[in-house]
Amino acid sequence: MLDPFSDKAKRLVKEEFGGITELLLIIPSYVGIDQALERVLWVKSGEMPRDLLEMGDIQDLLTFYALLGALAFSPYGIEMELVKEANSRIYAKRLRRAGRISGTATELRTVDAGEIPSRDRTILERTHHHELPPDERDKLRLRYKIHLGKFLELWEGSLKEVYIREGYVYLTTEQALKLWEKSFERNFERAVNLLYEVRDELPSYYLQLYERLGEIAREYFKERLERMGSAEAGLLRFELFPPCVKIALGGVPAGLRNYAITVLLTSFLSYARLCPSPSRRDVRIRDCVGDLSVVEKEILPVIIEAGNRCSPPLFEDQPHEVKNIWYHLGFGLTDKPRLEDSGNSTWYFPPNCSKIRANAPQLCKPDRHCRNIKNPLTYYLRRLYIESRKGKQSTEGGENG
Amino acid sequence: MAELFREVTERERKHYYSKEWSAKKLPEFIVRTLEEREFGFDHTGEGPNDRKNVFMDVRDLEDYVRATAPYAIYSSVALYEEPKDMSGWLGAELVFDIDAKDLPLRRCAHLHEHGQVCPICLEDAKELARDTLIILKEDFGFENVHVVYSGRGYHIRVLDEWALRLDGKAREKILAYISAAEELNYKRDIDSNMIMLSSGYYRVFRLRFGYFIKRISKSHLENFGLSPRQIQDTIENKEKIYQEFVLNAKSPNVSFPSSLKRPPRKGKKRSGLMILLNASSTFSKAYFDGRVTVDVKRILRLPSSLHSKVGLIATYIGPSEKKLERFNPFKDAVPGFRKEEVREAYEEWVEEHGDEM
Repeated sequence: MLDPFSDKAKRLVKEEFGGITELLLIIPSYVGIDQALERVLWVKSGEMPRDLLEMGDIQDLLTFYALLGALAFSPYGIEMELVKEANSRIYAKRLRRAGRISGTATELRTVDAGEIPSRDRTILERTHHHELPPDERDKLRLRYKIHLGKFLELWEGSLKEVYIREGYVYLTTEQALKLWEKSFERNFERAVNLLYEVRDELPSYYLQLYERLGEIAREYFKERLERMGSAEAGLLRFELFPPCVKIALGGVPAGLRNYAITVLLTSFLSYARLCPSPSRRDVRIRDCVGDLSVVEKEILPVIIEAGNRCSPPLFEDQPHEVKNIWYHLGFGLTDKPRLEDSGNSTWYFPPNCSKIRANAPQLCKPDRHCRNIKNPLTYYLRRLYIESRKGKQSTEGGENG
Repeated sequence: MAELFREVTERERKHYYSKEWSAKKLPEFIVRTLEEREFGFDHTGEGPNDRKNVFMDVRDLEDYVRATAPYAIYSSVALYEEPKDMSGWLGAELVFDIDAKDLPLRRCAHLHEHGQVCPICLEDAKELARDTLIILKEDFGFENVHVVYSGRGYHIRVLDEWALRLDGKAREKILAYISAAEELNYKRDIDSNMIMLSSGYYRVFRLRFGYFIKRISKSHLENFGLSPRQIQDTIENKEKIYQEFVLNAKSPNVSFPSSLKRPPRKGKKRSGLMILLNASSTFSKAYFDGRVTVDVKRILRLPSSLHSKVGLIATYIGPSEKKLERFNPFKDAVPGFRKEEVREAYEEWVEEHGDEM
């Protein structure tokens, strides 16, 4: 398999297993946890086992999707980064060995002779530079093209870096691989997001696999974790909140108040602060904290303040609504909660985007980060993840001090 | 004295919208997407504060415009499911706005102040619009491109399906490409002959450089820090540089005078050539109002509406370079009630300054 997100892979999943959910249910009977972990265990040494490169298509899909299923329990955590990096490298190496980047999920096409004016080819491919060794010249060959619209979705650099003509971007093998990697990353995140939806229905196999992945990832990213900490429970980063939560924080008119403050804000802020990646649905606040001070000092004031910004202020004409907040946090209907009450009611999870759109369309003003996002919490986790990557780049990259 | 540009009176506006204008004058690309666009109106000349209007039928728009005879009419470049709330964003036209009053490298600096326009500025804006149209069609392969005279410049509006979906980041990249805003590096771009490519960024760069070299003056060159010799050689070789470097894509090492290949002064690292090439980039960033390109929720002056501040019509020109070439705002964008006045003023202006065009 050259790309687990290609049309060929999709067809296999559908025809051989009946769909992605069915595939995930079948995997535990075919793939042992250790077997799935082989896809990531090699990254520390950097030596990719040959078996991984020569695996049959079905075996490849089963082991790859086993890891994806495990990531449903922690989208955008270090586990995801580990799985993404290891597998991107496996598939990239296979693509290099195959010597072609066709049949992948990236819509790259091969370039026909005569498509590029010969003078331009001479300049771009340095055809007459005989001092260059043949393999160096080979690297300069423009072998692939992609429509500009698709290219712009993936390319982070400037358009000066590539050759553009009649709506297409022409690429060398290295540039095409770079683009494929970006597309793999995007498809990977999209898949993890979709699986996040069904994590409660997955067999315990995936939770075990996730826990093992966590151990490997903590070891692999040890230095980085020590340097910057991970995207686990931590202080709230308001600037990274999704637009719906920001709107709710700014106060909303009557009619929207209860949904925005009690349903959305309460669940979002509490999970984002205390337990961003719950591994099971019935988690309680007392599973995450030792006392209620964080809830009382950091979460509740933000909710009350947002309620006061509503028009009319929510808690002035509905003071009993504070009890409802505690109820939604899982403490039952009370205004004097104790930690041991946690679990008296359900700690409500943030509603999915589709539910917000249906129940409070005024809150849903998607921005560019909302693309492929199904739940406001995954939006936040994704942005935290991107921020941590930026932090990583700035500590590892840069020049001249 | 007859004036080319002047603010129209409320009475003239009413006359225009009741006697001259009809919704039939709207371009097809607006009518086809009417229900998905937000309309904004300026009733007083203080800006479009009557926004989020929606017209389900072109006759409703016609009735509203006739009844109110607004100072200015705008419609969104974005298409929405609910234009009334500006929600359910379906996409936005990719727009390039060339405002003649803000252009750098003015040939008419001795004729009027910055912030005003004359036939020369409008001619220059037209040249920039024409080059942009060529790039959009030939490099990007766009087919659904429309040029509109905005009253004091040109709007180029792209409606190809994939352009509508572009996000702000992608639009920024396209703007940087179209305006040749990225600077060059001698080794990577010149020495490697990349600058001679017949397609892609480097051709855009040469086109923008062509506009630049035709208009730079001695004082510009002094400001860039070139030596007196380099300045003299550049001024004397403008036409050669344009013909060889811009039109025939010959290497700058051949097309530019040899004095430019050296740094202008001892201790300076950059050659005169690189200073000159990159000065072009600095200027070309200012040819477009970048906010218009990047903002996916902007409103633009409605083609066929009256630009009341200057007394001309925002006129739909069409999709082709030929139509743009033939377009003359002082003949084709003049409301009937100003025909005589503008004709007379234009003749006077041509008589006085025509040789500078």
